[in-house]
Amino acid sequence: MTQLSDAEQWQEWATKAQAGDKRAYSSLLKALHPFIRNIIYKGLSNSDAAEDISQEVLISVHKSLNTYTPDRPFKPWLMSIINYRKMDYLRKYYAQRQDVTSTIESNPEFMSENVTNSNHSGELRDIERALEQFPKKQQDIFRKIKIEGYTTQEVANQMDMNESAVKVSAHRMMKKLQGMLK
Amino acid sequence: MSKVEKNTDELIGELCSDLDIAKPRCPYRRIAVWLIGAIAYLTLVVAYIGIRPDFDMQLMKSSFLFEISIAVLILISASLASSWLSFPDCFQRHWVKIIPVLLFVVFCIWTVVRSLEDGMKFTDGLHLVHCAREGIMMEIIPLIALVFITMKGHTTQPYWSMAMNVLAVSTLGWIGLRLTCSVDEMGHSLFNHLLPFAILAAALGLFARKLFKW
Repeated sequence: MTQLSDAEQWQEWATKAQAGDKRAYSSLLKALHPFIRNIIYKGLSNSDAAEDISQEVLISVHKSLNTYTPDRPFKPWLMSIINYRKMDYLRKYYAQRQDVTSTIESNPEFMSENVTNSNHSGELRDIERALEQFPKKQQDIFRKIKIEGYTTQEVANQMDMNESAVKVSAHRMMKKLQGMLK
Repeated sequence: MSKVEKNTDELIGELCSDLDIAKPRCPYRRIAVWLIGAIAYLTLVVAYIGIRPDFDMQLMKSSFLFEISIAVLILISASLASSWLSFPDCFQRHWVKIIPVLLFVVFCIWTVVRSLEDGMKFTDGLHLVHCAREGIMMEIIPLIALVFITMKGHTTQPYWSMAMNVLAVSTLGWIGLRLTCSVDEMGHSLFNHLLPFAILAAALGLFARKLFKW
């Protein structure tokens, strides 16, 4: 007896399902689910979204079962549905995202996924608040050197200042910040 | 069955219990019925409006015959493409869209060449109203029927589907107007026969995704 490939097996189950065979249909959907989820997950890297879309694809397969004709390969038919549902999801996702603005504080999920040590998130906010108490020019010097990584020479050139004055300003501000945050 | 939050095994169970016999859809039967119906309807409308008085003379002109033949080819290929596009995988014949598009390009080149040869003459505005009215009479019912057939399918390319629907119906209207309107000037044909339907097509295109959602 020859071993059927996945696609041939699906084709056979789909043909039986069209005739009303519920067992074949169940086998088909169970076999398709991991395949669909893996394909979607490769493009999205979001397991929740991949699961949602794969369920949408299963429902679409169910709705459009009569558009599959047994003399045609099954996989291209399935792939068209997968791509359509994936694009549909992405379209909705980006449309919604345009209307939403959020801050880090209001998004603990984002914080837990993207901030390396979430325990430090409060400290980051304290530093931000402390920085705001300094004159604007001094803040700029500090941010450029300590956060953005510019050299003192580059900052001096940008701000039309003496290099040693820039160094002194950054050093003094660092000392004051340390005092404030103790 | 629209909630996706439920457990996948539960969903599969529900889908299985909901299974009915799904007879494979034939891409040719419905579109053949539509084509026959649309041609019969066009014949009736043309008979009602009255065929152009110089029709016999036109049949002697190779340019008229070429124009009608290419319009018939666009009509057949676009309606077939429309039918195949109503399958999620386009019946695995994605090349089908190219044929009506190419024929339409040939048709456009033909009209431009004719306009350059004959000059762009325009007839009075009265013709605009009467040709547009007759064109709508010829096209509206076949368009509704074709859009309905596509809605019954499961297209994954809604804009292409709508484009093919509109192309098929527009050429049907073009053929009808060439049989009833005795003004042969290209300026008239382009602006009075084609432009109102091009605008209508663009407007319909905006709703393609909503109309063919499934």
